[in-house]
Amino acid sequence: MKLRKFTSDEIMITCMSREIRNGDIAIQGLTTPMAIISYYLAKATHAPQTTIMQLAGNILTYEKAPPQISLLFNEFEAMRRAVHIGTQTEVYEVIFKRLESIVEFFRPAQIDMFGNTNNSLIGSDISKLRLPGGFGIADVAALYPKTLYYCPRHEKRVFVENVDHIGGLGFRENGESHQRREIHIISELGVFEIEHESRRMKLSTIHPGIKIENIKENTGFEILTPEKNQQTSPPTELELHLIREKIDPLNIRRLEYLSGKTREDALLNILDKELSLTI
Amino acid sequence: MAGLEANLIEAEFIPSKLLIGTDILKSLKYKTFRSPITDDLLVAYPRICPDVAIIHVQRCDEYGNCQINGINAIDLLLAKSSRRVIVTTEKILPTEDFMSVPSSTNLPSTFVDTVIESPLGAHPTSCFPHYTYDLWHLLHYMEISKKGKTENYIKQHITDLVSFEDYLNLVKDDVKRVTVREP
Repeated sequence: MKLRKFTSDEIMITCMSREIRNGDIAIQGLTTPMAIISYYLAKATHAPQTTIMQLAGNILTYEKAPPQISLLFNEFEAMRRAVHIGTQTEVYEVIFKRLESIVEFFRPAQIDMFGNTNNSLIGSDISKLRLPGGFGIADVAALYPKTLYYCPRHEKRVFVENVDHIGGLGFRENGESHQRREIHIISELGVFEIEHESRRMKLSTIHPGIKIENIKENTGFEILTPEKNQQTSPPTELELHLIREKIDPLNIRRLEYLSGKTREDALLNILDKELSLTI
Repeated sequence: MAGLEANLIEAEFIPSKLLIGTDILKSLKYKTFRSPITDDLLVAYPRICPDVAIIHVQRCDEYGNCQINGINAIDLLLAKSSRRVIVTTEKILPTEDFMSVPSSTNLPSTFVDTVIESPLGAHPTSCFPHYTYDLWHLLHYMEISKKGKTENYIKQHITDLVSFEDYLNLVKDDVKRVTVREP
């Protein structure tokens, strides 16, 4: 078999896209490029009847070709493609009514072995390092039958034994409610889930080219592994084509891996390209 | 949002199960209680009643009938639950213009106290379809804040200025970059 070359963001996006079933309602956040790309990819491939709902309440749509994502114009594109302009209250109304069909990918700053997540602060002093906050995660994480997280950087400081502050509720060590819900985590190294019996994080599939040691070395707790390792199925030619050429030709997805000055430079570079293309 | 919604029905609080088990609830210090109906644990989200809401809209008439035709998120909820509402607008249009499309008026004048025509009034955030948000300006602000000089930004962009025209003058090159040219 001819080996396709792909990057970790591309296999992650493919895995994320495959969590979407045809007819689901995908909730689109504001600054999560990989999540948005995965929704557009699903709608352009196996799940054409996906409804895409923006956090601000708008429902956008398109036929055939997926839109190209952008830093400056996501809101404009969404408005031009809107079939309905809603409100934030309405997003909650839809979520509560359609819990079974909602797909919403969150990116946690920290996630622990029980699936609890944190986007609020690191350490215990909020005046030292304050993160953007959980926004809707805290409200809805524990309600969804399937809660979805993605972690582009699989590192010990992200996969921690205990999160510093619980925003998105996973499972407590001692259990309690939320018996039958699933939590799936997609990282640059593999796909994971919180196992029902132990309520602990377990490897589901490992990405091609990744060794189990890579996962163990970069995880801040003991991660459960299946008896026989299953490999993640790689992106198809079509999926790669759509991601690279149609949905994200400016490579905005890479911003999710960068930080500091490198990220700012990349950001400005993309902005310049967008300006020369449009307005 | 629940706190704002409490206002709409004259409720002291709204009971809900949301946030139970999270540390966010702990830091908010909201009270929990047992439901008199099911005995389940509930959080009392206290009523939030803002004194003033300032809302920027694409178009309205001189009475404050607004047609927000971009993302309106919680604008309507905010306007309805605040004591006073100031609307700033890209353009004030004659009331007659709204009579053919009344269902597009999503915030009626009955909730609005004051109207100010102020084109580009949302800068450095966006106002569809007139201008996108100004990421360059926001990065500049971030840079200043990181150095602990936020006060300088506030002085230069707000407190040292007399009018909104002064502000627009100050950021005119930034604004040019994000304004969508008419086709």
